[in-house]
Amino acid sequence: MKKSKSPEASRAPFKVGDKVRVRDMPYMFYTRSQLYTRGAVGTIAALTYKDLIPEEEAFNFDGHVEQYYIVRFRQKDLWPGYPFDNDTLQTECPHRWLEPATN
Amino acid sequence: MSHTHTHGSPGDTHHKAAPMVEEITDYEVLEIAVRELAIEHGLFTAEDHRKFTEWAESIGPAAGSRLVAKAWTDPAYKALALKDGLKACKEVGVDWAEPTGVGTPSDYMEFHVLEDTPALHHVIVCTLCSCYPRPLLGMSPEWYRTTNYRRRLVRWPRQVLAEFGLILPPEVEVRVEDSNQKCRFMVMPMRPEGTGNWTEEQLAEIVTRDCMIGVALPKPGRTADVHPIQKARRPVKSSHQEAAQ
Amino acid sequence: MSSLLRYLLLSPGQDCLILLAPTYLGLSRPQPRGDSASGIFHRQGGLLRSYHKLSSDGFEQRIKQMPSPDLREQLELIRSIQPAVHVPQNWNYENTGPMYKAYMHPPHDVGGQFDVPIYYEEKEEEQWELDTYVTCEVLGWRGVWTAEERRRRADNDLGYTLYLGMPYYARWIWAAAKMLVDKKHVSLAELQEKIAEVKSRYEKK
Repeated sequence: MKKSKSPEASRAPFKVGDKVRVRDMPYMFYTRSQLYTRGAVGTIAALTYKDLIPEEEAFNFDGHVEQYYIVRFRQKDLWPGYPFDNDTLQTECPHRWLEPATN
Repeated sequence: MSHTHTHGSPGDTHHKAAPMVEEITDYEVLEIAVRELAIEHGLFTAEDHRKFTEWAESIGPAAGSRLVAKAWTDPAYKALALKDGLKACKEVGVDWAEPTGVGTPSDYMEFHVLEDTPALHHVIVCTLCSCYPRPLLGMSPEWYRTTNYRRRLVRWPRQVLAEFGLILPPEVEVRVEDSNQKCRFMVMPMRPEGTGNWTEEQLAEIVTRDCMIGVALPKPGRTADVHPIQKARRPVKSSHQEAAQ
Repeated sequence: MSSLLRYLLLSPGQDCLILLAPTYLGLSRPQPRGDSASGIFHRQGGLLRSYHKLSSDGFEQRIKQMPSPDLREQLELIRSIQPAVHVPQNWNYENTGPMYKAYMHPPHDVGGQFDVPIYYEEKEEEQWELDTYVTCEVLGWRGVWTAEERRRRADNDLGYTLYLGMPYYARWIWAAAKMLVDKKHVSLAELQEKIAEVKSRYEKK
């Protein structure tokens, strides 16, 4: 495995309940961070495990290990005109795709 | 209809279709070629392939049904299932470390049970591929793998559920779980009315695979997931294979 | 940009459009399925012949009992006639921002894209599909690749045409074959010769 030179995600880990925004980073070739979550604000529902990020593991790079989180979104915040107020969606994000949301 | 063209070696002057002795597809040929080359080059052994096949043919949704039925009848087990999914699976005979000892390459060892409540209903998808808790539920159904389901469930969950015959009141929170990384999930539906004095076996019978994905609710008398079935041309030569639960 | 236009412009070759359009336009089930014998679409007299492939007795019975199944077929056939503005892609000199991003988008990320209701069906597993699944997993078990590498190759590297056109497990075995060549376990020439040799075992003598 090749050692990756990508910068470490040096921000402090998030906690359950933290509000986070999915970063809209440039991407190509491969990612597991869905387009429909980009820019959306959600809350950390759980911390799961630490592992390589898909952008590196998928290319056999021995990159940095990052914390993964289950992030919960309101469907109303993901889709324009979503008609049901209570519905939510959860998905899993590695740390580098998240930033603190202040609002 | 099923013949393929053989591309002759440079010495051939003809280029015509050779009828096959038995119907074999280009995909079968490719798979055999890949497998034999891998074995010839020492990448794995035929015994490895046989052993993993044995495991693949042993999995199915019955263990998941048992897990749910047990959780419905035993509050301590239910608490365990919600806290430590892997341990709960072991108690119904499923070890996520099998058959390699460290888990399968695609299913990993991060399993979580999602509990439905009167206010919350879960439904599972993998929008990126079709990640599925195989060790506990067996192979995913064809529809779960379609781009169609993966496109629509995250954005129009209630419409898709309605197509499965499931309509929920607006106050109920429908929570879609997009399992896009290494965690694997299963829905623990609520125990339905009218099953008060049922045995675990009776309860397990109504917890079908669709109930554990979240596209159906368990109901007395409902013991099968009914969908149209696309038959295979050369199905798996094994007694275990089932197209539906 | 309309979703239809986005799909049209994403087909890099003229021929791709023909294959992509029916998938996008989401003809209601049964859709034309790749013929697993030869991997090409065959339409045996109409898009809807696969109605008759459905061999679940209960379902077929219900179709027969519906008022005028011929009318249903006719409605769906008419619906399938869709005008399209064909914009062939031929190494455009530039792509604007959104178009660039659309081209860079990994094909497997489909969540939230428009699609229409279809019959959600089961499929009986072919022997080759089980063998493919096992071969791919065993390659992972023995450290030749990881599942993430498989997903990256089978869900993204092959491009939209093959991603949407090939059967599910066909992409798996394609990815395994490509990986063996990329990682220099097997040369492409060796792979091709092996394929020819395997095929020859099944030919009528």
